Amino acid sequence: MKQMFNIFKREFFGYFNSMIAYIFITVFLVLANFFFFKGFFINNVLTMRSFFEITPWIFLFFIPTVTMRLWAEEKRTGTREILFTMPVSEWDIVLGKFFGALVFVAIALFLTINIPVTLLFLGRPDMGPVIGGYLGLFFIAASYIAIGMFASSITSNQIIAYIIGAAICFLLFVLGQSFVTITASPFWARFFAAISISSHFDSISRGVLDLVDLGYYAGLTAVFLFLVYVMIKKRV
Amino acid sequence: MIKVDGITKRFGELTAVDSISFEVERGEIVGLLGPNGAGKTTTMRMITGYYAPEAGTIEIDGINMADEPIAAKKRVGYLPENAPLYEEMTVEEYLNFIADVKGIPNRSAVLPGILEGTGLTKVYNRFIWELSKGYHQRVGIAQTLLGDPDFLVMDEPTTGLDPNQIIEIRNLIRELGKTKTIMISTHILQEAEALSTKIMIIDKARIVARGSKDELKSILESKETLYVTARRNDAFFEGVKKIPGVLEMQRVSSGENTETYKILSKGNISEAVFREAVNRNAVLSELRSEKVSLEDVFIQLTRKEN
Repeated sequence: MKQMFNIFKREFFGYFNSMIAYIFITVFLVLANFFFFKGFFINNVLTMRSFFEITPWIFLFFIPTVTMRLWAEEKRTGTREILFTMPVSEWDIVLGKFFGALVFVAIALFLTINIPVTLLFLGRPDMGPVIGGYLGLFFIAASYIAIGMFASSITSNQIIAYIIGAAICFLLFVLGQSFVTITASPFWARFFAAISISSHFDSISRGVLDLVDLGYYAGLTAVFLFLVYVMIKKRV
Repeated sequence: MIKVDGITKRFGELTAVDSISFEVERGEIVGLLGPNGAGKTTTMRMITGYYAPEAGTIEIDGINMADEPIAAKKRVGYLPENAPLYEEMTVEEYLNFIADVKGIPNRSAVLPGILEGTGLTKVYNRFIWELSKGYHQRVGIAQTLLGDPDFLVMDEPTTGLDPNQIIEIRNLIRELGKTKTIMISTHILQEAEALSTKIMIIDKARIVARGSKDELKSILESKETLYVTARRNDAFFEGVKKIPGVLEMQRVSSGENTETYKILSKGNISEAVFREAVNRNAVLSELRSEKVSLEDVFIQLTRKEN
């Protein structure tokens, strides 16, 4: 636990050591706010629904930029050789890096608080869906990070890590979208919906917190973190 | 003591290390010598717990690396080839990170000594990417010293340095060798000779020779090659063959009236050959001896058959 925290500390503050953190947060906030307020004053409804619909798409392209270097760079520069010969278990390293990225993304997400605050200024929005939506986004972010880390663990090239990470996230997200499920047979439609990131998000963004949905994200995250563990254990 | 017993590591078809066994006693500086691609780095990566061997065991002070990796890794400091460090950190941040991970509670008590010993005091607040290659190695060595492990493993610690830096890093390693057990790898013979008390020559995934530096040297230095050219005289050359110390004798050329033999011997036998020539009434025209260098033996050991 203490060891995991040491790894976490380096990873987390590492984002702020480079420009990545500032660029990421700035661009993310600008995009999230732009897409939300673009329609907000036209629709004139006190809801964050559009924010929760668009943010998973923004995450899809942004989170792999956070995770792409996590293992690929260690591999390319050889720094992992020192890391893996430290008296630290592989799980501490995997989880330290994971939580470093997760807390960083969570902070970026938290900084969109100006949107619900604006809603509260303008009237009395239903806060259930807002809190549920944020929780759902947090869980989506965790899954994307685990997927992105996996992509980074199989290559020493950050660009490849980004593309593979984004591609897996995209696939898992898009499977549950209606334009896919509508074309599939009922069995496959149900199957796609069950394994898709987006279908589990719909109820959360409506403010319904279902343990099945949260369990799905937790499970997806765990599966990919385990794959990362397998990859780095093999020193691939 | 590091005890390595029959470790093997394969990468697909390639066997990088083939059932290697050795022991490193406390206080030794062991030089792992071999051509590039011989298996030095893979061996070191297994000793430090980076790779798990497919067969065989590694014990550090009796602690099995496979069973208790964390306890074993605590006892070994590792400097990989080219000192791969987190370039975007300062020396201070980096060493503090390593100290965190190694779980060193009283770092303010140990850091100044390490910084001074490795000559890093002046660059402590600099970014690692700003530093020269020599200083990279120093930071890499400082990192191994944190946690005060008894064993240091260094992979090609002077490769890529300029001559001054090489001397500095060698002096540093020699200084560390007074209190630590060190294993260095190198493909440069002089380096192994200059630094180590014991040398292991590794080639094609196996250890081909080992011994203390003096042992290896005495074996090698006692061997000499003697070129003898004389007027054709079978009795004489038959007699030479029987001189004690002659290991190998082969005719390298024969002229109209003369013959030249190359004789590999233990110790200098030129006097005995001369006396034999006098006894047999042979006419000598050349008697030339050559020392077999460590270099020759290294090349001989690592180049034979392909």
